[in-house]
Amino acid sequence: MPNQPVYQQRPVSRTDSSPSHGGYNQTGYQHLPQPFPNMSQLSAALGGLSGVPELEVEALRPVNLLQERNLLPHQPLDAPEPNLSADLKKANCSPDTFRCTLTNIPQTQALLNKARLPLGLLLHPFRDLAQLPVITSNTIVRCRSCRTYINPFVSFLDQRRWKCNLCYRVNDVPDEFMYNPVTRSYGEPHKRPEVQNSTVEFIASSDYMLRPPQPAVYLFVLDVSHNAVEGGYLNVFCHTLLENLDKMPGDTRTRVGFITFNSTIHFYNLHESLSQPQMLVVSDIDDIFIPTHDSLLVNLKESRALVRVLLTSLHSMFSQTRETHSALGPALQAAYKLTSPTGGRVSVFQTQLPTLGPGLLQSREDPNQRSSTKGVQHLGPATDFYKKLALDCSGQQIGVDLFLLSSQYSDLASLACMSKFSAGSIFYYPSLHHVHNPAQLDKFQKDLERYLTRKIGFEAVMRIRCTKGLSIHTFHGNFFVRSTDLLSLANINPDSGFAVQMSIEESLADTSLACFQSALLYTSSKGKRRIRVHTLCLPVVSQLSDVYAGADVQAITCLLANMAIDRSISSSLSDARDALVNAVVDSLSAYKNTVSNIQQSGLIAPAALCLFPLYVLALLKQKALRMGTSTKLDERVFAMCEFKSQPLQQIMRAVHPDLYRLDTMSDQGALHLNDCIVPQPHLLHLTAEKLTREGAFLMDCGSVFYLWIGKCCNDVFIRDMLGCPNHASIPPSMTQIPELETPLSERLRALLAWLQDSRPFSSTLHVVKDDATAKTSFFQHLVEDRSDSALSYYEFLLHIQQQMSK
Amino acid sequence: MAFTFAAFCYMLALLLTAALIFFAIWHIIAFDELKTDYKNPIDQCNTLNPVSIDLMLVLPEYLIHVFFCVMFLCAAEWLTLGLNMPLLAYHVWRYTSRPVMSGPGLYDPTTIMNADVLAYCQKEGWCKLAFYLLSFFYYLYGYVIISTSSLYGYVIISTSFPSTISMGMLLSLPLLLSLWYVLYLSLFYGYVISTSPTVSMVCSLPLLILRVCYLYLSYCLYGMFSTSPYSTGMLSLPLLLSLWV
Repeated sequence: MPNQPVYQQRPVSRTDSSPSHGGYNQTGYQHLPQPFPNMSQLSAALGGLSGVPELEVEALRPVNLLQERNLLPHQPLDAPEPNLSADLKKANCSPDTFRCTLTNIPQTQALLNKARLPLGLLLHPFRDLAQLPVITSNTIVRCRSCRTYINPFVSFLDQRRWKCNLCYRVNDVPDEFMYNPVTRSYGEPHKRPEVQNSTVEFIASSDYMLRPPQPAVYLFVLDVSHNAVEGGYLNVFCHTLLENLDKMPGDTRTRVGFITFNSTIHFYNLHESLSQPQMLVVSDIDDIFIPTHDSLLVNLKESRALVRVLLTSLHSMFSQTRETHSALGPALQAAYKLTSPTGGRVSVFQTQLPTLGPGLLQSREDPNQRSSTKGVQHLGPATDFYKKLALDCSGQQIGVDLFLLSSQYSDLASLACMSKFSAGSIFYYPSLHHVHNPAQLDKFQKDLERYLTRKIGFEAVMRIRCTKGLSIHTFHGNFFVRSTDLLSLANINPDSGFAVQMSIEESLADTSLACFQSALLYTSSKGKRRIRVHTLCLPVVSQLSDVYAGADVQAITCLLANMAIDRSISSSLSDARDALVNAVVDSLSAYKNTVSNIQQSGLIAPAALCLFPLYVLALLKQKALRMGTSTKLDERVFAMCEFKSQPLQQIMRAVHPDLYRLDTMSDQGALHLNDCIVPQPHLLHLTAEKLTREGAFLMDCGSVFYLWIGKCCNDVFIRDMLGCPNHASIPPSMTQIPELETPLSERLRALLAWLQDSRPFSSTLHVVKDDATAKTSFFQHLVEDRSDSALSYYEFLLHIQQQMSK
Repeated sequence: MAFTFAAFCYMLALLLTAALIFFAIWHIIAFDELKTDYKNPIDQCNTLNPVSIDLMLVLPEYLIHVFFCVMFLCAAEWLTLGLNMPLLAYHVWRYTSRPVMSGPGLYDPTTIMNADVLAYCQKEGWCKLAFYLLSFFYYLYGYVIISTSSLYGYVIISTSFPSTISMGMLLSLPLLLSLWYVLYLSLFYGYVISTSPTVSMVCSLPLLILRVCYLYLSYCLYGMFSTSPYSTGMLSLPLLLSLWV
């Protein structure tokens, strides 16, 4: 029956079993108690709003920050649960995908202003999901006026009509929707998967296409100057690509191409009829042209043999090169010309400052200013060449990803524009060298593997709709903003996050629920047009205390970080830092003056916000925003790019790493995952106070783990864990845990693997000895301690208190 | 000498301001379209920035404004120039603080959709429209005053000296009669007192300020320092008043 809608539950390739990720554990379909919950029943179900549950009381408990030292929970912080009825809570979108800074939405802008907290969303729309309902039907049911997709939070007035939860228009239920493919029954529209799940994926019809879906197109633009070959990345790249050639997402139409460049641009003819790849050199870099139009981007299936030959010989072809110049701009123009008929992904590997042709850059960094306390110059681009190119690329559905592998200053602030506005991703390996820094090369290889094999969506657009009265203020992330609520994403990858600032334009007084819906329309690597829809539902409150009770401190921190980075580029870094401190001062003094009626001295914060000052202090000590500590300009700019494009979990781990004590860890509260015991040590505050000479500590900074071994650490422990007889015999640069048969080693490896599971890119491990020089990189993450240029946590609290009493 | 250079300036400014009003309206419509999703920011910024030759908006507006400011400078129309200085300074500031761009232009398609930027641009459009509308009437007024005053002034000078520019004043009288009268009285006495050798400094200071105001006002009305304002004013105003009444 071709007209029958087909419904399937399809497991997605990557399994995501990490509990700290929250997982995406959908165990079948929830059933609402009433067949047709109408508006009044819904609000009755929301009765929790008046009878405040215990959670809310706990979130409002006043905490005197100056007295309470142990604020961190034992386990990593979870997102606060919105105060909804059980049914709505169950149907709501996972906080890993969709999170709001205020889980209780204030009714009016005036109330929001009073609370002095930012309102915004943190999105991770294309996240790898363990389970995702995929829906194939002829008609995708949407509201006729605001085009919202039907979702669990709409209300059915009767069998044939539903009311949109965003614009309140009453719509008809189409006939097809009456049939439920899951239960194979008729007449139960409210049991359809679209109405049961807040995250669904639709297979879109041709109405959602402007042109036939494009094939997966991958173009690699490789720097082959002397600098690049000497660093050894080319070899690693060729090997990794060779190994993963078959794992790259795509179908029979997948096309690949290669461009290499130094002072000239080299194209490779890989037509299947040839026996050897043919290299075509274009030396006219001021007016670049494509030497031949077919067979530079070839079908991977047909020309696989030639691609393999090219990849095996590429390194030796350039191993003797003496060419030091880099014509990146012309190479990018060539890549644009080559891919513009189809769109696709361009991966650029660059190892130095571009020195030739259009888009050439000058060194702008003054090394003496690295630790300046006055301000940091040159955070913005030096030229608009890369931005214009990115906009052209975005228009032709080309995403540009940049791998910067340079140890010298390469003006990332300018180069990053090519990825920022074409929805690409940016990778930076500051000291990549196959001899001097094998650990980094290893990381590069693993990241590249993930990069090549991860899911990809082409020619995507994302629209965010919200309940009437709310409007979008600003977007943060890598994309091009097409209109007030529409993002144009040439490529979408599962590792990029977005942040959205919201404002309240009209009062929400006549509604008890506010909803947000993000819809991502993309072409999958198999050439299918798909729409991934996430819907988040949150209660609306009229009391200031409820707003504070619903504050999500992690989301607030991430949104503030994004805002601060915008501010530091448009205004200045010190302005941005002041604004961050003011955000804490304002919100705490607003809380003190309005909500808390305790006349108590000290710094009072609601329990929901008690970590806010700590996180802001940690932000101020990040590479992106710190001042007075020597920071290379490129590293700073890269840290800024990371903040803008990473999902919340990644940002939070980098801002406030998790510190665990290992030598006292026990099996109490451990997780049992398929025969493997994963211990759950308690989180510790990031201060040297918590470290002891007898202990061993693990710090999880997101992209890197530090294993710190105290000087007087037990020899048995060291032997069981690292396989070295004592502290003195631990090698100075140890980057791996040996696989020993001891229970301790097994537990540690289980813990590391479990932590690793929740992140897409593999993290490196550094064993840090107490006396090693490497310990500075470990100690800079202890954000609660005083450093030579920044305040300690206690001093920071006193500073805030002083500002508040002004 | 009916049609002086200053009068020509005013006439030219009048016509050009009409064009600027048109530009401002275009600006407002363009941003409104952008906000309501009828346009792509890239196309939008290409129209607003003078990248394509056929559609220019930002630079021509600035150039036109600079052009008649220079004209007023040449005509020594200090007050008019002074009134235009803030806008001129704003234009210079706006153009120097534009985003990094290789071509001429002001608007960056990547930041324009930011709600703050969009709201700022819209507000800028409305403010400019208001300014150009006001200045349109000001130039009209200035043009009429100058052409008539110099015309009649010339005729009258040849016939009767004291009321050199009384006709110009006559034209302006209906508009500013009450203010004029108050000022006249205070100035008349101020003049008397300040010419008296026995007056103290304390008494003369507020009167001095009033006189400066009077100079300013008469300057507004005549558009130039053609004659010593208060001497003619003093003498001709009672005459005029009697004529008027």
